[in-house]
Amino acid sequence: MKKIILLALLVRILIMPFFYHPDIKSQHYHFQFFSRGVFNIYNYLSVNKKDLGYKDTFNYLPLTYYTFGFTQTVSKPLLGTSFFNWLNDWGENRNDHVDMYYYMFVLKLPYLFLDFAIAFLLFHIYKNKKLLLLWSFNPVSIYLIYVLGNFDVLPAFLTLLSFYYFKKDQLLFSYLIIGIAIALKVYPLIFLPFIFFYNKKDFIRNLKYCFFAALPLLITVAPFIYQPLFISSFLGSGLTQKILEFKLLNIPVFPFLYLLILAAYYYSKSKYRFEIAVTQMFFIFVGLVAFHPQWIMWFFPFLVVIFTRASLKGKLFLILYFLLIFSYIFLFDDNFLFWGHLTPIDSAFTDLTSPYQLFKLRTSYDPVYLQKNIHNLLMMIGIIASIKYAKDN
Amino acid sequence: MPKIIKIILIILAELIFITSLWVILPTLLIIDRNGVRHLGEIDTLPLDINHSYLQSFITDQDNLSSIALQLKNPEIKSTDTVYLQVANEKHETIRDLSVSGRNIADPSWINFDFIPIESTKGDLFYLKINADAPKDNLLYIFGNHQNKELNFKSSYKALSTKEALVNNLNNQKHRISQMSKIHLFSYIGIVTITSLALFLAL
Repeated sequence: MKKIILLALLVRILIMPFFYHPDIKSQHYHFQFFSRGVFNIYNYLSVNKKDLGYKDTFNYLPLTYYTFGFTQTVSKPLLGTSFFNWLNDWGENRNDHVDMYYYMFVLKLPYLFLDFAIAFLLFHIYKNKKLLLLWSFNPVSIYLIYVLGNFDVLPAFLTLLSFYYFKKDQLLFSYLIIGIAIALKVYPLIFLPFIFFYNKKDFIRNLKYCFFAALPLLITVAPFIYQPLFISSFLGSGLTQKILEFKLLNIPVFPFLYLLILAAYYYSKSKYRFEIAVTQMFFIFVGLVAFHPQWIMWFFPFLVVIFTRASLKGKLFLILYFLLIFSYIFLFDDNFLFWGHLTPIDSAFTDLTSPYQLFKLRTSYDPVYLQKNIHNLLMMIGIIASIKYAKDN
Repeated sequence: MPKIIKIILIILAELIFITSLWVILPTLLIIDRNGVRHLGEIDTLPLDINHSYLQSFITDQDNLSSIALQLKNPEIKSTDTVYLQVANEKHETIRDLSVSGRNIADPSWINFDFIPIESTKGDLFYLKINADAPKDNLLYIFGNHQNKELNFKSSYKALSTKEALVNNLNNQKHRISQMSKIHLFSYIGIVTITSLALFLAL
């Protein structure tokens, strides 16, 4: 076990510094104001917009700002003043700095702890060494956490922790922790009904404790709820719109399929019904939503469980499905979703021809059209797979 | 498997990983590199039969292969042609290029790509720019009204894999020399300690 952990740690330490996405810089640009005593980031950005190098709004919830503002403040001695010079440089060289590898290493340290915490939790819940191995060395979570460098690993960890406490019948902790996850990023809300209906017999107990899930969000959002700046910044994140975007006969499809999955889940007697339901949600989410790659992290800890339990055919299917997802991701017209990740090594990677540009230059095929087709394929395969999992459930 | 073999394999894997990321990938993929540039001028200078410009610069890399100019075609009306001549220190024209106004946005950076000039770092070049627009207010170039310095970017191309490797190694050497030594040794220290801990656990 010690060897696995150390090898996994070494792999991550070697990868962390050398991959970059501009999101980590733009997020930490906003987080820096926490150490300067800014409590209301939404108001601050609006009032000082003309003086700021980066003029985008802060599109996350307050707890996200406080949490990562705090971690950045704690990391200040490690980062040094040159980090803040780079952070506030939005000129031509905004995505280049000789010490960027070091900044990426330090900024991703919290994610490293959370990654291992997820590994520890998975092992603790399922008592399966293969699962630990799979989590430690699968390229997908390494890509999601250390290449994209987004903070979705935190709410993902908290969702898993909530599930852990739920399995131990500690409902108060379970609902409170998923409440914290929701207060960081709203998406764990979609898991809440599945936690609530896990044990049909415990309906009253769940009803008693489920309101604790709302507490963290209410407490952290309360000071801002009547501020239009907060509302417009937060709604600007677009997740809700994206979920409801895909319509048939003018009816959003996602809520309809979501309710079907929930209904099947309610009547299921499978020991792994929660994990299966999350996998089904993942399939319809990927198929119906114009998702950002880092959103896959929301479902991934549970997907790994399903992968471990799957037959060889099932494993092959999931691998091919993820290869399709990656081809979808790499076809975005954004070099920072391909070569640009290697900017800490050489800023010239940003200027390389991306797969999107290569398609456009070398073929008569429209890469946007190809990407759309891949997405439609993901939707069809996802719905079929979802039905198959429902039958197995 | 004997412990020593495992240790050797891990060290080899680390070296292959670092070499692939820092040497092999950049050498194979980064053939063109951005070089000396002049940016930040905000004046728009008229570009027509009565106005031409001369910009000099000294290359900071070998094999000049592209020049980008910041041009402006108000409301993308003009279909006139902008000409760029790249000349050596003796003012001899080496490359003659043009772009139609149809391809100039309002504003935009226009790349003039050409067969690489076998130049070396430190060579002096002149950029001669003019247009066949009949009058002012049709096409513009970004520069400085007073000293006529123009916004431009230069790019350079490695002519062989060996040259790309040399350019890459020089680039990395330059980068490493500029890195904070505390940061660098801290990181190397962490990798070393983790590797040693792994070797001891094997």
